[in-house]
Amino acid sequence: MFKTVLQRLAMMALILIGVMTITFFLSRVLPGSPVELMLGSKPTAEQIAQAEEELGLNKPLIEQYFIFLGDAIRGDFGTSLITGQPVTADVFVRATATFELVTLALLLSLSVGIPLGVKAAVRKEQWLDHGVRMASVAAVAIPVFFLGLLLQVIFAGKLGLLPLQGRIDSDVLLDHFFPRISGFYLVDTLLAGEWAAFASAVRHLLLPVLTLSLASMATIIRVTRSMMIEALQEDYIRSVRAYGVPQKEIYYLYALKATLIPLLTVVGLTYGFMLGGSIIVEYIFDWPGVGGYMVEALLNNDFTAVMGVTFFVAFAYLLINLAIDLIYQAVDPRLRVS
Amino acid sequence: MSGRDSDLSWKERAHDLIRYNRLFVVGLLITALFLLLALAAPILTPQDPLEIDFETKLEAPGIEHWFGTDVLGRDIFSRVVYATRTSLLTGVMVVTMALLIGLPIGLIAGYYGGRIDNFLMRIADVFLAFPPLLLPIAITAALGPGLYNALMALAISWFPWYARILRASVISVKEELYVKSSQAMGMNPLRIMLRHALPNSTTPVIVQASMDFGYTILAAASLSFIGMGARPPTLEWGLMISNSRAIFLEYWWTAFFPGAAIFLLVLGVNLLGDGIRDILDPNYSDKR
Amino acid sequence: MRGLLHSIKYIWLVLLLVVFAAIFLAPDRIRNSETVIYATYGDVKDWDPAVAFSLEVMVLANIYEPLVYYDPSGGDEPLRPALAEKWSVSEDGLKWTFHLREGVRFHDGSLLTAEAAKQSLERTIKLGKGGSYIWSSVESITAVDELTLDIRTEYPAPIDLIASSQYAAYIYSPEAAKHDSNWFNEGRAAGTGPYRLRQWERNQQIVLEQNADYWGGWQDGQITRVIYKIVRESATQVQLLLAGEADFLSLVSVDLLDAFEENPDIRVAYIPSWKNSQFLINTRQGPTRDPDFRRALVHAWDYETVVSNVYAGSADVARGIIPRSLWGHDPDLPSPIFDLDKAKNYLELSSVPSFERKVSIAYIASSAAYQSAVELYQSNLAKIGIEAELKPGPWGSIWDQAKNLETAPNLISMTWWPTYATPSDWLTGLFKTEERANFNLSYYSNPSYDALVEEGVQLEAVDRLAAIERYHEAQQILIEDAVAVFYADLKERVIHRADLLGVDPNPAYNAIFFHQLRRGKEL
Repeated sequence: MFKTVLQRLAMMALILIGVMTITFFLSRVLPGSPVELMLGSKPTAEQIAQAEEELGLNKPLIEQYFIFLGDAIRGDFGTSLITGQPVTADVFVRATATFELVTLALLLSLSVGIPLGVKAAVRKEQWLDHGVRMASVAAVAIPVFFLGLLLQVIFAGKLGLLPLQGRIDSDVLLDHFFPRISGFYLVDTLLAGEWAAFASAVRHLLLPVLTLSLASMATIIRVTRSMMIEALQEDYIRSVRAYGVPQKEIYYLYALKATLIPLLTVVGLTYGFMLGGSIIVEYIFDWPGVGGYMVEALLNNDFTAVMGVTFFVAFAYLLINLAIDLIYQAVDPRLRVS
Repeated sequence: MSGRDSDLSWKERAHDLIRYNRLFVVGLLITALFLLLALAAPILTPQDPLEIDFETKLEAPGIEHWFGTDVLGRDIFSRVVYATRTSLLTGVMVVTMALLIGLPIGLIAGYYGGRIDNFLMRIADVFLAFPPLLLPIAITAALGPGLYNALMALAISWFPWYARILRASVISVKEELYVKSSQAMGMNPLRIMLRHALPNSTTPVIVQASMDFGYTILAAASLSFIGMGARPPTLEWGLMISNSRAIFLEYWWTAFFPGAAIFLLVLGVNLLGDGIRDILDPNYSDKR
Repeated sequence: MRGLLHSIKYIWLVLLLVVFAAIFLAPDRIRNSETVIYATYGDVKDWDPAVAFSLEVMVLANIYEPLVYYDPSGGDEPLRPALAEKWSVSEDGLKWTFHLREGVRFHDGSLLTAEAAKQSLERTIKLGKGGSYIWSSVESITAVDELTLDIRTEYPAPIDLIASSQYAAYIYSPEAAKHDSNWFNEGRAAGTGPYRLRQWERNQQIVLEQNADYWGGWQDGQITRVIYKIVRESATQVQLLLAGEADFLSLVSVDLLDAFEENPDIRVAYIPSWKNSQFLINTRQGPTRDPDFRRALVHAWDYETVVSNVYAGSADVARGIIPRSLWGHDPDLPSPIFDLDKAKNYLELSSVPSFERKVSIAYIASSAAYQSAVELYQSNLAKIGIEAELKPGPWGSIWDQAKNLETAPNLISMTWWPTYATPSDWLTGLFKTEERANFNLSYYSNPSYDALVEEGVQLEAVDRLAAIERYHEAQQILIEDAVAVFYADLKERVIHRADLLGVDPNPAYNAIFFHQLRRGKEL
């Protein structure tokens, strides 16, 4: 087991170097010179020359690449040209915002998707099953950005119930202090006992989380349903049934266990899918996460930020997939051999 | 569905499918409808989709303008119909380009194996290490925003899936006796691959492509929505929605109809894709 | 596990209750009428007033003050007192004396003295970042006494105008002057202005709070809190403004203006700005080397149509290169004329054979105004037999190409504004001979023109009327030589909730001065 983990980690490092290489060369062909971003609107020729010197832009590209790689290995991703802050600090603050969004969306997808999938399987070919299936087919086809817009119009525009954008109300952020321990506002506000801030955070999370989770919810329903149908036909379920175990326990404790492994795969895929989808959701709801940071950095040719953020996102994505694989192996001993 | 039996021929399965799986039929009809719209757009539309007319700006849907008009007084129905072409084109082009890149790589990796295989597959892994949408956005930013660059970017980030499928099927074919015998007979390796491995992988590739079609349409629309895909005057649904964001609240029709169009088309092609998968690959299908 | 299974319903119930409570029990947010919310697309990058050279001046202008303010009212004296009450210059134009206001305190409690001002300016000059080059004439700064500041220059320079700049001219506390930029960039500020920095939540908001000790004083009903809310998307900004959740917004595309037109709650104001737009013509490469060919280009631009249709009220036809809003503007210069016949005549006079009548035009792709104006230009050029190749791109890349003569286009879009209140900024920045092209993308080089501009710059210190005369002559040379299509003086579009009164921006500062505002009904 230990050896596999090491092997996988080594492989991951290789892939990450590949990712950095692609990103490095992509970011160097971004149109325009990055120095004007650093220098404001009307730099003098001397200031430009000095900035190019500072950024090492006057060195050959290959040399720049190795310097970058060396720094990156030491954990130094440089300073963002837009924000003037170290990229690592920027990314950390932004990443917690994104992970709060994605994690909650995933939890919502699972906690609604699994029971619905189970119910649909149990009432196979009844109206509930048909209804759930129709809904899940439809949910996958709605563009995320259109769904977000619709929710904004209904809940923020017409009903005025929920905020349009942002992570927390301006005045709440000003008047209710809470230390950023986890970076998840829900957790941090609770820890600080700031109820008003907690409520504000909840209200700001609802629409983005709903927008992000709908499509994955549909996938989870589908997978749960089909696995469940298979499991319910197995012999051991029949025998458990014969022992008179309550229906609910049969479904959730016995049958569902069999669906865990495929579900894990789906969870891994969904996490990645959501990291991608969060770019759009963050864009619509002004969520101060990594997705928005990335898009802004790309559009402004902030190449240090581009590379830093790509590295961290790819790293997180690979790490999650690795974790899922390892759990997978732990759960299913058959896989260990291969 | 009754035809879960793998012994049935695909014709019988298709027959069963149309008979018992109404969703597949619905998907087929929707897709056909959009194809018709795309082909017959000039006949079906009452107005030039680019014609600006400030006299009629932001009119609500009515007899004159079925879907209303936008900020510049352009007929939204005409615009939505014409934009069908863009979306269908994106789906076809991305999948085709991804195939063109992915298939040769998979073929080579699978056939030669060893180091070449390892190298090519690690490269594919690198492309898969980017969460979806992130790599296309980065590539588009580098190439410069625009519809064709966005499509190219989507294809580049999409090819590893096809490469993997083909590689797997090449490897499985390679061990089979007739390949070994044709090798022994001194046949050109390329010909062997083309004759045996490629046809063998058609089914999984078609299944994958038909499932991806809807996704690529959504992804391309998303890129346009955030300003990295199509640009005016190209007619594109995501772009139309993006342009109406600020006024969506008062003038709902400006974004609603393009949004509904994406939804319907993607729904249609997804249902169709599910159906195609059920016909070609019965083992894969949901337990119905 | 079993227990959990059975209690799952209750967990769901609790969660739903929490969500509903959060939605429906949220206290009605009472908007304090003395709070203003400004929706901005970008965050502050440089909090250091010595370095800031970008959009952050919109925040800094409310925290810091310069020695003097530019006064746009159009009187003889273009400046009015700020931290300095009086100022004067020696006859030779080499020594400036500023008498500072008494009893002014920085936000950190320290007192404004001549020594403090000296330290602040010296630090700015020494850092050499941002717009600090405006001080390049300075030889020494001395604190003569508690409140008297002397600035000596190597050659005559308009230090009073320079001191009114929004870049690199703010005075900050001596405590702050001891630190480097990192100290500021952790979200610190110590100015003398009406607002102090209360909170900077990166990527989310910047909150300014009333500085109760402000020397300018406070009256009831003034704005006591300003929240800059970072809202990246124009569309979201508009929605917030319409919903009354924002009072100002920072950017809006022209086609969205319709959404405000008939809304009584929103006011759209057009205020003359110092920005103007032109297309610089390459005088060293291609057919545009020929002056008559360039004159033809100048007459083929449809000035009236571009201003009235493309810019739809947010611009005037330019007259000369110095905009109407700045001292030194010259109303006697001729208006440019759109006349295709004249253009044709010049074309015939030129030595460019008809098969070489092709020009490339580079412009910023994201600007709809450039796009439309250039397309119109292209069709007019076609009428006189000039083929125009359009090269839209992001500023960074078109600028890079234009700086290299090999890749430079024949025409390039340029929107310019001065770093401080001087007409010479255009004349020097855009057309004075440059060894290596930076902003003189016309590649214009004319010794007699250069001499005129240099004289003018020195005269600005002692005799502004004489300076204006030199600039008049210099502009005539530029027009005669047809080095650019000078086509539009731009207006700033300010969009805000109509109940905010007193919005009257100063073209010298890209900021709203919130201290001047109050809420109420327009009479």
